[in-house]
Amino acid sequence: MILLSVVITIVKVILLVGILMTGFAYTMLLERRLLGFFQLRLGPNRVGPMGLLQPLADAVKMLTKEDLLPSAADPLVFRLAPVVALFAALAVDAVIPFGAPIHLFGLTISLDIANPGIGLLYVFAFSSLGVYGLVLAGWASQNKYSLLGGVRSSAQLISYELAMGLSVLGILITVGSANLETIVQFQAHHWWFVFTQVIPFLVFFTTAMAETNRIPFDLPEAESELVAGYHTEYSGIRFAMFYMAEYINMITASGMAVTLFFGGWSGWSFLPPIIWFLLKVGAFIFVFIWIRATLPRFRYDRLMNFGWKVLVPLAFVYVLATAALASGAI
Amino acid sequence: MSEYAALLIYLLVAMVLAAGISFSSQRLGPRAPGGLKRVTYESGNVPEMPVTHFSIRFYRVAMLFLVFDVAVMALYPWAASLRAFHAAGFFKALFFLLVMAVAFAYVWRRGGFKWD
Repeated sequence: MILLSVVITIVKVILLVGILMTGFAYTMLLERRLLGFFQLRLGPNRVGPMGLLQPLADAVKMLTKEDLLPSAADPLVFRLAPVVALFAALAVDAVIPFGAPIHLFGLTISLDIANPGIGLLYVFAFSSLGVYGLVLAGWASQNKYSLLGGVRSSAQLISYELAMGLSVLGILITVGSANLETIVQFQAHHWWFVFTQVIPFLVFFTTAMAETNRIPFDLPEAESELVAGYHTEYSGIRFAMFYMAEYINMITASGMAVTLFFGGWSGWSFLPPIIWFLLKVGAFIFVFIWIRATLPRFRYDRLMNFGWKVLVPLAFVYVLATAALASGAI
Repeated sequence: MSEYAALLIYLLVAMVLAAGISFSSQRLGPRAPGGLKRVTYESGNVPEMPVTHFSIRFYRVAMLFLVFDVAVMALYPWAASLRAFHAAGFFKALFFLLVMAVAFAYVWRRGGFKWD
């Protein structure tokens, strides 16, 4: 019995890693194609039908580039930084339930790697770990642009993490558990939190965008001022790893927004739960790309101000209101 | 199988995969040393001394973040069990929240979040 559960876990681990790596590749292709259409051009469509083999071509190209190490760089940390970034990005997804538990051969298999009671805290812990990859990359490169990019990414994290932490408190109060599966079950039986927690959802989505360094919050790699920010000195597969981390982070952020505010895998019964989950995540990824095509980049001081002076007070007031209502104090 | 053992397996796989990808290009890529390709990029100029110092302002915001983030983390257990505590639990935490809000307002007025 123990052997069987170990085998099931290993199969799930391999499946999830495979899905995330493929998901990253095709999210990237989707983004390039969609950006093409947003800008009235075609985007990459030459490799394979409709450009569907483009990620494969990119991977082969990146893998067969020369392994370059800048002479001024710290050799160990320079090589370690992209590993940290990618590891942290992959790690978060382990606790997101991407479907209702399935029953197979008399066994109940939950569709996540693990479902610890501290699910929400686990997500926060690992998603903020990712910034180490960026800071270390910026520091190890011994390049002014890289260092500025790395420092910016950490400054951005500390300005937005607080609002993000506050934005989910309302859910914690209503459900009474930090377990992600419980949160989804609650929404499946009652209501989706996006209806009762509109402002926290907007705060969460904004901060998630900032944490994944997406436009309009992509200051750490602002190409008009910092060349490429923290990955200026990187090339080949290590350069690609920062992109893997960024896109997997985007998938994770979409998955978390869906899990916390849009009912996770719950939906009408004419489609299986897992399809509902993927559809919702896909919709969020589309919104991420749409925003990138629409909005300009923030100015740096405004970005910091926005985090501290708008998002934090907004989330804080909403937590107070939710707590007062839920505890019956009003 | 305990939840955390499963997590550990996943984290191990993720770490091995990330490290494997990073070090794979050492074997797969060509080697053509020489030229100026290992010189630090500085928009075509000859690079000056490497930078190791940066603005003290980042430390100030970092300290503020630490202070408030720990306060918010302390709210998590309270939030998860608030329904069991009813109104009394809310009013007791309200004092803590107000202290936090006053501290936040003070830092704001003193210009702690100013970024110039």
